[in-house]
Amino acid sequence: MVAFILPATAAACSSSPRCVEDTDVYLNAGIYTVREGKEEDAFLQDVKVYGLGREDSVLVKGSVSRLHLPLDARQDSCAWVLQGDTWRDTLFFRYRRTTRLLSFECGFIAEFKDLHAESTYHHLDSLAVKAPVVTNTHEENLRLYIDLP
Amino acid sequence: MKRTCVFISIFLSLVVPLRAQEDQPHDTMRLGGVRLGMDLLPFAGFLFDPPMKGYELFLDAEFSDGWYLVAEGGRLKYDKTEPGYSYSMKGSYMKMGIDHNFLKRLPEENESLFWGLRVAAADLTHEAPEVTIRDGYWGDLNTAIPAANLRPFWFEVTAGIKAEVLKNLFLGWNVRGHFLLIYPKEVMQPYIIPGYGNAEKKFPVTFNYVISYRFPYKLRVREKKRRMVPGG
Repeated sequence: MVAFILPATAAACSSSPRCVEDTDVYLNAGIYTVREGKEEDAFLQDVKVYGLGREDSVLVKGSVSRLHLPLDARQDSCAWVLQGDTWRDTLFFRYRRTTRLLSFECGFIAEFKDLHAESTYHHLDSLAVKAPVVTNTHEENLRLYIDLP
Repeated sequence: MKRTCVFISIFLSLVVPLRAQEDQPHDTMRLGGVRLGMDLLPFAGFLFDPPMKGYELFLDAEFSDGWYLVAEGGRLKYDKTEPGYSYSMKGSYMKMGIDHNFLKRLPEENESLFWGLRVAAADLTHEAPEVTIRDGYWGDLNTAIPAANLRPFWFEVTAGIKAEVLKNLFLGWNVRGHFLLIYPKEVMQPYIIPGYGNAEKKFPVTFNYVISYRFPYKLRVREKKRRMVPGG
């Protein structure tokens, strides 16, 4: 009898899993400067970061060495403004949007592939796309280079 | 004289080992049958996971002593609504294979301890008609994943027991390991593959708890009768 009851008990007692994955999707950008041919971490001092046309919604304010920028999943492009005391640069992003089921516990996320980035270069010196797929990992997608005095 | 006979008997029983002597194999008739069964576990599963609805049927027929041809099939429907999305899947599956009872079967006993192999395929359609991706900065994205048809193919190994609890009525369980062989990669993988289990696992293990009824028929089996005789 035990041989018949045990398997049913084991099957009935299996618990339903919970979401353990990161569902946040950001474009991760690092700030760098180049000294004597070597890349070094750098900071943008007293910067305000907001979406183009969204001056009223500041994402970040202060000194930053890393930026985590959400991309607009409703459109194929978006732009972010980096504004300092005396300068302002705009980052333009184009991408291919996809929707992916992360898991049934976590739900769906938007992913952005074939990332292409451009910028104005007032304070920024250059940029480089390092990982063209923006997803829920913490991988660095973009490097922003600035000149330090 | 009597004491001598007893001594010789004891001596022979100790010194001369018994030897099995086999007669020539011969055909004999015994009871076999076709069993039709259904899995009881889904009904318990529906209590714990109400969005899941379906059934699973089993058919086996003994074609040789201890060897069974097996056909299994079922349908499964799953509707799930979570914060952020709704999901719907429906599909059916078919499995073919063999079971082998490795218990030596006695004439009046029908218990079996078996292993088996299956090849299986499913046909399912699934979709996520409502998907909302939250974005606190740019605004939420409302989208949908359109219906997609998938035909995964897999291989199973199984082992279990079956016992006759009433005349021709059997109760048993089995455990199965599934090896997914062909599985088209889509934007969205199914929540569950009918007959396979959790689609996110490469080797899901599942249970069946089966009640079945046997429609008996006489089966010709080849038997070797053994009798014990003294020998060297």
